Amino acid sequence: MKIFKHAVLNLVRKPTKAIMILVIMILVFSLVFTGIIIQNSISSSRVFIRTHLGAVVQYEQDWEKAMQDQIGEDEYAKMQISRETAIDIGKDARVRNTYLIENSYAMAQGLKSASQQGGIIVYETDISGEKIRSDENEVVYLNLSGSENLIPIEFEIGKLTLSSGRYFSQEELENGDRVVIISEEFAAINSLNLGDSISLETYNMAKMDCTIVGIYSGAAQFTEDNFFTTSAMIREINSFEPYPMEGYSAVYFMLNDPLDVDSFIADSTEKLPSKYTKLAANNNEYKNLTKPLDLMELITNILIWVIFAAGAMIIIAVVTIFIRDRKFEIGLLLSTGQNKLKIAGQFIFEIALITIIAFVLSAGVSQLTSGYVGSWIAENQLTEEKTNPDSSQDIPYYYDYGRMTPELDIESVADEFDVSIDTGTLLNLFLISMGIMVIAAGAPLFIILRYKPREALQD
Amino acid sequence: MNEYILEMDKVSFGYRDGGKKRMILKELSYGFEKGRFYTILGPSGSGKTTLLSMISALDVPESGSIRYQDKDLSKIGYGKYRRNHMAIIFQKYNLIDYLTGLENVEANMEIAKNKFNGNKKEIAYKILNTMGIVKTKADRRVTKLSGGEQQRIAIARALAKDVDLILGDEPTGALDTATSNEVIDLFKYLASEYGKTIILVTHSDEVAAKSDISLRLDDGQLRQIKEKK
Ligand SMILES: Nc1ncnc2c1ncn2[C@@H]1O[C@H](COP(=O)(O)OP(=O)(O)OP(=O)(O)O)[C@@H](O)[C@H]1O
Ligand SMILES: [Mg+2]
Repeated sequence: MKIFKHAVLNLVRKPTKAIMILVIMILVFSLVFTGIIIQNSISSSRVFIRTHLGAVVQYEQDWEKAMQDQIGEDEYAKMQISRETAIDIGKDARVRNTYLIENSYAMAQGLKSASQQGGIIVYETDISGEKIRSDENEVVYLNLSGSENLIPIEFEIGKLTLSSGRYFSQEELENGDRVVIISEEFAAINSLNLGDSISLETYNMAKMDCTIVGIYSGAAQFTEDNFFTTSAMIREINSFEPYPMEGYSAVYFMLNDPLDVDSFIADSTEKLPSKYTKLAANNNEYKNLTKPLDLMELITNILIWVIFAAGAMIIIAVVTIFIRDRKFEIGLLLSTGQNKLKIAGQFIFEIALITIIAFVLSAGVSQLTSGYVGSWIAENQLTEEKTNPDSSQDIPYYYDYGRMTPELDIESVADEFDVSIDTGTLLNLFLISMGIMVIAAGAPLFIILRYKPREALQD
Repeated sequence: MNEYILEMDKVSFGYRDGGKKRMILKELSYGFEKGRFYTILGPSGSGKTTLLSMISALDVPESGSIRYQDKDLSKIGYGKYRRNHMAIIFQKYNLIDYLTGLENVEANMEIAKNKFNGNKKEIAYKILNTMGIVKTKADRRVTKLSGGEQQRIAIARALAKDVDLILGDEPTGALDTATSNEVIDLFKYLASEYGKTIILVTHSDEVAAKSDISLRLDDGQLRQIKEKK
C-alpha cells in the first residue's frame, strides 16, 4: 500500500474534515505562538533594560536607617567598607574592575568657577569675623575625585569623555604625582591649556602645584568644577585635614556582563561589613522599568496555558473523531491483511501533513498578529507609565552625581520592544505541535487497530 | 496429510445480545477441498456471514479450530493468513471511498506475498475489464459508480490477489442475471483451471446449481446438500 499516496489522495478528495482540523489547529497554534512571541519580546526587553542600566554595582550605605535604629559607634564604623573587603568582593570572576574612589576638595586662588553656583566670592574670615584675605580675590572650591584606576569609572562607562590630553599613568598613580584632568568648561573660563599648572590650596593653605594632563567634556550642570586626580594625591590632601573623611566616598564594581548583576549582588552580599550597607545596581529603576512587563508577562503566561490546554483538548477531540470516522476503512484494510503499522502510518501521515500546514500558516499569522499586539503594547502599555509620576524624573542632581549608569526611560524600552521569534523557539513549538498530533492520532488508532476486523467492519 | 485445504473442527461462535449469549455456530465441523467451487445457502440471519468471518480470520472462534493446509490459523498468524492466502468479497461491496476502482484494485495487489508478474497497472485494468469495468470507469472515484459496478470492482479487487482461497458473501447479489452468470462462470473456471478454492454465500438456487458442492447452514451446523461428481 502506498501510504503517502493514499494519505494525500484522501486529503485532496475528501477535504472537508481535514480543513476543519486545519482551521482549528491554525486558531490554536496562532494564539499560542502569538503569546510565546510576546513573552520572548518581554524577556528580551528585560535583557535590554538590564544591559542598558549597565554593569556597575555600587556599594551603598543606608545612613537614614542606621540613624533611625540609633546604632552605636562601632556599627557606624563598620559601615565603612574596608579596602580588603572591597578587593575581596572584586575578586569575583564576574567583576572586571573595582573602583575605590576617594574625594576631597581644594581651593584655587585667582580662578573662576565654571559651574553656575560657583563664581561666588568667598571671603575667608578668622574667628573674630575679620577677613584674613586682604586681596578679596575670587576663590573657587574644587571637588577632587581620586582614582586608583588608569581610567576613572566616569570615563570607562562613557559618562564623561576625554576631549584632549591623556589619562594617568601607572607611575603617576603609584607616586601620587600632582596631575589633574579638568573640565572643558573650567579650562575655557580660565583660559587653561594642557600642560599648564594650577596652584591648589589645601585646608592648611599648603600649596600644591598640579599639571593639567587631560581635559574632559560631558560635565553635568554644577559639576564643571570637578577635577580628577590620583588617589594618592587625595590622601596627601586629606592628611592636612583635622577631620579627614573616613573611608571611600564611593566603591563600584564593574561587571563584565550586565546580566550578571543580580546574581553577583546575591552572591556578594554576605561579604558586606554591615547590614546597613548593600550592593545596588539601580534596582529601583530596573523594577520601575520592568513593572509593566511583569504584569504583561503574567497575563500572557496564563493565556498561553489556558489556550494551550483547551486547544490541545479540542485538537485531540477533533482528531479522534477524524480517525474514529474511518473505523470501517481500517477494518477493510485489516481484512485484506494490511500491516497495522502501515495503516497507522498512513493516518498519522495525514494528520502530520495537516499539522505541518497549520504550523507554517500559524507561524506566519502569529508573526503578523504579534506585530500588531507588540506595537500596541509598546504604544499603550509601556508609554503609559510615563504619564504617572515617575520617580526617575525628580531625582535631584546630587543623587545623579554618583550614578554610574546611563539614563534609560520607558520610551526607549518601548522603542526596543521588538516582536520576533527565533528558530530555536520555532523548532520547540513545532515539536510540541507534532507531539500533540501524535497523541491525538495515536490514541484512537491504537484502540481501533486492536479491534478484530469483523468488529471494525460492522461499525 | 489430508486432502482439505481448509478444515473447520468443532467451531463455535456466538454474539452477546442484550446481556445474553446467542450461539450462531455450534461445534461446526467441515473440510473444504482444494480446487472446488462451494456455495453456502441458508436463511437470512442463520450465520453465513459469521461463518465467512471465521474462515477469513476476520474474527476468531470461541472454541474449536480452523486449519489452512493443515496448519492452525493462529499458528500462521491471522494477519499473515489474511494477507497471503485468501481474498474476500463482502456482502456490502466494501471499497475505499476516496480511491478510484483502479486504485482499490492496485492497493490489494500490493499486499500479498505472491504477486502477478508484469505491469501492475495493466493487470489491474485487465482484471477490471474482465469484470466489465472499462478504463474510464476504472479511473473514477468508486462513490461515483453504480452499485453493480462497485460490486464488480470488489470482485476484481479479490481476484487481483494471487491466492488459493477466494471467499464471497453474495458477490453477485447486486448484479443482473447475465452479468451474474458471467461472474459465476469465471469463478468456476478459476476453480477448475487454476485449482482455486471458491466459497460463495448465496441466496440464489441458480448460483448453487452451478457450484461443485452446495452446503446449507442451519442451526449452527453445515450440511452438504449436493455434490457434483
Ligand atoms: N455484532 C453482532 N452482535 C450481535 N448479533 C449479531 C452481530 N452480528 C450479527 N449478529 C446476529 O447474528 C446472526 C447471524 O448473522 P449473520 O450476519 O451471520 O447472518 P447471515 O446468515 O449472513 O444473514 P443474511 O443472509 O441476512 O446476510 C443474526 O441474527 C444477526 O442479527
Ligand atoms: Mg450475511
